[in-house]
Amino acid sequence: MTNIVLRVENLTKRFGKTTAIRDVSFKIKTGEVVGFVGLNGAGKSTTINSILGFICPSDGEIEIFDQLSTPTNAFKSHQQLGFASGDMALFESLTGEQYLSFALHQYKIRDRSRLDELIDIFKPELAKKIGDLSRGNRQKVALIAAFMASPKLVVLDEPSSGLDPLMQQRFLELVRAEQERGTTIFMSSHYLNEVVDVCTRIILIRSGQIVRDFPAKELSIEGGKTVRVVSRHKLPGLKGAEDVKIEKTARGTDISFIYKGSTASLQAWLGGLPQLVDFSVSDNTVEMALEDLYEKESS
Amino acid sequence: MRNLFLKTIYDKRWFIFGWSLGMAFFAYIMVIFYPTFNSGGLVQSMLKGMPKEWQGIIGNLSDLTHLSTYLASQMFNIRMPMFISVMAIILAGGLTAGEEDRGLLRTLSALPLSRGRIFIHKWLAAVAISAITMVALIIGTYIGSWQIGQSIEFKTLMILSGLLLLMTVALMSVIFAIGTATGRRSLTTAVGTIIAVVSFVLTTFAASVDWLKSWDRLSIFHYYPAPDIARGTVKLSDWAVYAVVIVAVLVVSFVIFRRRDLNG
Repeated sequence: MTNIVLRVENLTKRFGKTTAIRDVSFKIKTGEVVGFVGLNGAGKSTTINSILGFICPSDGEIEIFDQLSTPTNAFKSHQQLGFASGDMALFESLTGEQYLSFALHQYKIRDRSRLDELIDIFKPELAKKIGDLSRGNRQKVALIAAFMASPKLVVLDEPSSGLDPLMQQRFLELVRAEQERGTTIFMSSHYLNEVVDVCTRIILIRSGQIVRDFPAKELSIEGGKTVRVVSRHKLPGLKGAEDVKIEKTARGTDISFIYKGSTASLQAWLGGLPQLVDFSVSDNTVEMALEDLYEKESS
Repeated sequence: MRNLFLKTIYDKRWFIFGWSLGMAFFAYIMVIFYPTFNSGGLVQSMLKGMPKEWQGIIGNLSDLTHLSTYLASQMFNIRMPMFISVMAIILAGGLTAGEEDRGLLRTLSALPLSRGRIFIHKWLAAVAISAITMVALIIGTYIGSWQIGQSIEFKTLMILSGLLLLMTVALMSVIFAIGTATGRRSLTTAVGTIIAVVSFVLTTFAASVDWLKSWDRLSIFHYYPAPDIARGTVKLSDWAVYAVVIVAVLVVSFVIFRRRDLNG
């Protein structure tokens, strides 16, 4: 057995005349936490649905644990695969406890210790019917179900939507802990900060095609800082400044730019400026960095 | 709730309770009205005055002389199949396309459950629910007959209920098959309703409208001749038709369901 947990090869899915994804290929190794990022309609869910065997690929192959996966036999890999999505439908007439117990039986697991650990982390309301639960509590139940069988591979589609900030934090801690245990995680998320926070690798999808596959740490470096300086004097140039915008105001010349160089050089440059009226330095958000990436890839 | 079959039965517990109660009550009411129908007088003269075309709905007046033939013509014939068709459409449509519409089929498929197992457990649960309501119908019939001090032959009631169950399972399997093969709720409900209504019209009016007689074979109710069964005529071919329909639609839909894209 190789250390490739998931292999997607030239995956294409067409719905009638529309091609949702085209020639999507990637491999995920054991223990990787991979963020699958793209705008709405980029093809994230179609790729995930194909991986899980919910839909049948028009072309291409999916291998999970070295076995070719199709809608007919996908259930075999699900014995070692957990899944949760942000909009996951759960059986509303069951209580959270009943649903988790039913799901646990399908994995043929009698030991509840892992389930109890997860209940302790998320503290969901298990005695209530799922139909009466808030969205956040339903999401907790879905996440517990995804991790309770200690799967080797966890596929998550917008997993933390609906969770409050505290629970979102607990979820990220769980992902880190799972990574230490050697679990492989493939997750799409709209919260890009959490992708950067926990993922080791990011796959960027745009208009149904993979446009970039890179280590997550590159994203924070590429993000850089936004620097804004207001001065009445002419300013010296700064190496590494990009996207410079200059505006004359009553307070002086207002200059803003993106800086991707070293912090020490920026500090030295700011220290040497005469009679500053105002200045600010802020980290670029991951969203800005991704937008930047998107623009670069499309150009 | 160790498996999907038991979970489905649990999920549908209020549906089972409601329909069982309704069937038992309907049977009970029909039985306790028997003395009124049987005593001649106003009801019989009213029935005699009805047009010939309505004979299919009213039934043969000679059938009113015995409880078993009365029940066969007034309850098991047409009325109960129509009543049960509504149940079959709601049940089979809800378990298949209804759950798929709500995304629940994907939730089940994310577990280590094969599509084949999902298909079989859901179908078996629908059959079990139909059987439970049929038992309620038998209980209601017996309670009513006990109250009016009349007896109904056990064998006749079992054959009437047994073939009615098979007819229900056949109709339910057709709707189930459309639901699992397409995942489209509106289509499933529409086809189920069309089958029930067209069958009702064909079987009801074929008795008195000559040109409809040849079309009556297309009706799912045609193979459930309740008055004939009560008079002692049991045709194995009727049972065979339902069995063939069940097997055929299930095999085709099973093959499609295992390979198709899931909605939701």
